[in-house]
Amino acid sequence: MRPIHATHRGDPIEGGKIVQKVRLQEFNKDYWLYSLSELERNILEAILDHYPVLDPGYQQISRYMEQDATKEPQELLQECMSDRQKENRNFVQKLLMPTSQILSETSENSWSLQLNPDERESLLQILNDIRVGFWLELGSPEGSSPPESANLTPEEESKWALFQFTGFFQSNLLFDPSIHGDPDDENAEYSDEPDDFD
Amino acid sequence: MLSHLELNQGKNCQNSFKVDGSTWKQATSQPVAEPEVEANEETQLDSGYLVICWDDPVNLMDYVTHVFQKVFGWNLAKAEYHMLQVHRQGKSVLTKESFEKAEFYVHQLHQYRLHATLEKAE
Repeated sequence: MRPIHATHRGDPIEGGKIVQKVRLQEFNKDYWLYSLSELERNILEAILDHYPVLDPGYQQISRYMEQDATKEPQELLQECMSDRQKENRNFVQKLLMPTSQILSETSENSWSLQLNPDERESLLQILNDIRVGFWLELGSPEGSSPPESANLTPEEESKWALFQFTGFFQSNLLFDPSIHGDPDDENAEYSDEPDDFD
Repeated sequence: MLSHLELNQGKNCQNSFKVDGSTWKQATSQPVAEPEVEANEETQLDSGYLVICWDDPVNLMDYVTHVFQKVFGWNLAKAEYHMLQVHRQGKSVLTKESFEKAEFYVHQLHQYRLHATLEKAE
């Protein structure tokens, strides 16, 4: 597993300038409200356009049980994953609709993302499908950046960037002040140094 | 209830666990909370099925902790304990259940794209 890289909670950078980061504005038992810049909204759309990346049959129900015993459960698993992907795809369409109540423009260069708890879970699942899928398509790299020797095609470079940004969105969605504390608290312990990868 | 998992704490908080006869040593000097791998009454009568989560190099640690909390309703400490066990030891036995319940949990974990399987307990 990967620790959350410090930059995942940082800000996407445009032309060397730091722009507004995805911020949790409010949350309660009914909804989570985030603010996004125009750039972040566009990156999120670019990411979500790829869903789903992983095949519904990507995972196995068991490693060690005999194949005869797992044939039916494996088929059921694949069916469930297909159904879930359909539901998530519908959610992505709903989220990206111009008249979306979930992702809406609040002012110039500012968007709000309002998710109920189930929608938040769906978005986390969608982002992780894309992130894991891109990671596999990039050859399952170990570190936080491609090896220097890697001669990435423009398509792979784009995938790499979206892979990183997907981690950024996941980390921001996962941020829970009731667990992690107030991000505006100057005494909070946040490190700007990247964590080591195992 | 610790049905098939024994915790032994040695010097420098070096923990070792016995799961179904196999001993795992924890590669950390950090003290950790005592694990609680539960089995219900039904599965005490037969061998039951284990839900195991396997390590992978891509899923974020906070994400895995969050998923454990959502799927199993665990508190943060227990979810983090199992997340770290996956991270450090390559796998964690999350629960022991009847086939149907184990299958349900595996489906839930797969929806989040975690690498989980069900295996027959011996």
